[in-house]
Amino acid sequence: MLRLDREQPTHMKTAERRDLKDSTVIRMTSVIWVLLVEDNPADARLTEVSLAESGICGFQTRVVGTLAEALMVIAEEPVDVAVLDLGLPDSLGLATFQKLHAAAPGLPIIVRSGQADGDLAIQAVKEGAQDYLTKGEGGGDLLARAVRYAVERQRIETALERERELFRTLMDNIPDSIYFKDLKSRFLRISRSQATMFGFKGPEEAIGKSDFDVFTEDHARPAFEDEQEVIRTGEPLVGKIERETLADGRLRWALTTKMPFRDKKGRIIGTFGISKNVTEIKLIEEVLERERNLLRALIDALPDHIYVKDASLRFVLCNHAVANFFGLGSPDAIVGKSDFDLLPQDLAQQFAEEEKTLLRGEAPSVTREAGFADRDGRTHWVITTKVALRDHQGRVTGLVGINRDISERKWAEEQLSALNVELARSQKETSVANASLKRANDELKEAQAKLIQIEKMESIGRLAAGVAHEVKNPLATLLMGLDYLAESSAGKGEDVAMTIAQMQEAIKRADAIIHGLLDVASSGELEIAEARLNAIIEQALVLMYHELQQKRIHIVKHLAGDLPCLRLDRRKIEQVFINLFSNAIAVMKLDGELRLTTSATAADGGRQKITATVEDNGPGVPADVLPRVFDPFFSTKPTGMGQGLGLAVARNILDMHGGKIEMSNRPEGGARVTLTLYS
Amino acid sequence: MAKKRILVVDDEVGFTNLLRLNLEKDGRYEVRIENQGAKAVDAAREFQPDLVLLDIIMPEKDSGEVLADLQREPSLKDLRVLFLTATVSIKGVAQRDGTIRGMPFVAKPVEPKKLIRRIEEELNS
Repeated sequence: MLRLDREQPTHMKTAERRDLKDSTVIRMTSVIWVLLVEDNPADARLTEVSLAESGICGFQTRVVGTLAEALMVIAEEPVDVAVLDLGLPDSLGLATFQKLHAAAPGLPIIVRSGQADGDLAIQAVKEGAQDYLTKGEGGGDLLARAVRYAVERQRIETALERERELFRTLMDNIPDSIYFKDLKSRFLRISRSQATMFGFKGPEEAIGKSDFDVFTEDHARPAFEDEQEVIRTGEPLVGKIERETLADGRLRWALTTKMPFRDKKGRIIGTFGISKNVTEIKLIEEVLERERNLLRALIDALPDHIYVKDASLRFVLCNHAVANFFGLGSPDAIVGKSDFDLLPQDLAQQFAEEEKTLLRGEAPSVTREAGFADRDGRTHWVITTKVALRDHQGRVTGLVGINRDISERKWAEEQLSALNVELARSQKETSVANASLKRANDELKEAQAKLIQIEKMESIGRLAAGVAHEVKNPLATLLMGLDYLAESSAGKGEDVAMTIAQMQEAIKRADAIIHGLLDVASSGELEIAEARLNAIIEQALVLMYHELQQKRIHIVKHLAGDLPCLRLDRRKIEQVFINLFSNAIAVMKLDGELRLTTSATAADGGRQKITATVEDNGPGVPADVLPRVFDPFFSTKPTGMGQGLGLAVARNILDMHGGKIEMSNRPEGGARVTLTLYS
Repeated sequence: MAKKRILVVDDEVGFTNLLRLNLEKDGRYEVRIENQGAKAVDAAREFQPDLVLLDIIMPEKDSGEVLADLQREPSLKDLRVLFLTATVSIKGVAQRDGTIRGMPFVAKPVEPKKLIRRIEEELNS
């Protein structure tokens, strides 16, 4: 190229010339460069001259004598046209044309031949030569015109080829469907992508077919109608989104533009259009729309207050819950307003301060619980979360807020708390009541047990009283009789005396039982008087002196000196001690020890509790027997040795005094009876 | 020394008979028996006893009434009474100082020796 510039400095650069050549034939007014391949110098000269003199336009002629030279020149110089003699020293006949044409397919070649090989020239034209001339025919003008036309034709062809190339590039590569249809909406031409979509081998397969062949009726029919409308009105249909179902069932969405297809005279000869596959966009849109709908449904349905505010803290969006709360019919009535339009001013101010911290980006969100009175004056509790909204550049553009009305929960909590307090109080009361009920119950049980015991004793007493009289008289008679017999039978043998003695003893035993029963019977009434317990014990000891002496019982006394005077029936209490002493004496061996103690302690209601214990060092009481020792007629003594009434009488007497009698075993051995009386 | 007269008023026939045997065997007493309380005063008026052994409960007549009748009888001014009772169930008897309505008593059954001791105590008091 540099060489070119140097050798032909007066000419335009090749690229610029090519541009000119490409743009339009009409503007081509410059010189035509002709490569004359002629081995006959005379012919070459003649031709050169005739061209120069033709006056049609300027020619620059370069003459070479061989094909090899020609090939070199076209490779290096901007030749517009070649005039080729087929008979050259280094090439003959059609091969000459073929070689040059192959070396420069775009170069117009005019073949010159002798008259003899006209057929050869025609063959060359068939293979791409622009023209042929027979040497010696016509003048210089003919050649000049042929040269010029060849150049122009070549230029036009090149331009067309380029246009075709552009069109083909478009039609073969654009992924959109591009089509041309005739007046009956039959395809004239479709893009390769459309053919592929239709499942065709190539675009040509579509020719003559229509939408009805490739789409289902539900798309083909309206598309056809649209095209006929375009044809009828000449109005284009631009940017229509269509749902297309292909014959094989594939679904696609297309953005379609249909234009009237006119001929040179402006007559409509069909339609053409482009259809862009927007299925993915459409699907994305559908997904987005679904999500939008879901979001909207959620926002509308949620009982929470959801709202969006812009940077000036005006509502941009809110749900029905917000509208209902403010007593406004629809969210639209809220949009554009601010809290200052809807809430008490101080509250609105408070919210605004809070929201401004979000807008200033000081916090990504705020959450708080607040109570405020509604229009009816009732306190509502709301938990609020507000989050700053940012655009894609991260700038805060507003905020979204959610208020949850937790009033019901709060009210329930308050109520629950009140109920809990009430419950605790009533539980306490119940437990107090229960305790007192239990105490009353215990007392009642005790009283009942006492009543039963008293009733039992009274029954025994009544029975005893009835029996006593009827039994004692016969006993008295028997005793009188036996005594008499004993006197009368004196000296009549040991056996008689012994028999009578044993009968007398039996009568005494029977009498003792009756006496015991009468003791029980006679304990029904008290003769109450002031008395000192220690004195009663001393008296009982005196009465039992003989028995104590017999068994050499040691008495150990720890009697409290400060016992208060008691109001009691001294004879009955004395009877109790006599019974206890005689039991103790009965179970102890010789030289036993009888321990007696008294003491006083403070009791309820300012009274004093007086306790007396009688302890022996006998064998104690078997555990299984302990619960029954106070039962009437219960005795551990051998038959005939006791009536089993002593402790029963004692308990009866203590019961009547409001006291208590208990028996236990001493850890160190022996039995302990504890009497309790109250002052 | 004259025998002391003892009137036994008791509806227990067997007892009274045996009592009389025992008292008479002692030798110091003259004994008369009356088994009907209602006839006690007549018997006493007639017998003029030094001491009456009076059973407390008798079917026809209460011993209290018998005692009252006896005490009202002018001819029996110095009469002594010793109660005999098989029913010590009369309220408080066991705890009384051996007296019933001011009169001493002896509980049945009683050994003849003990009874005689008591009789002697009464006669000599």
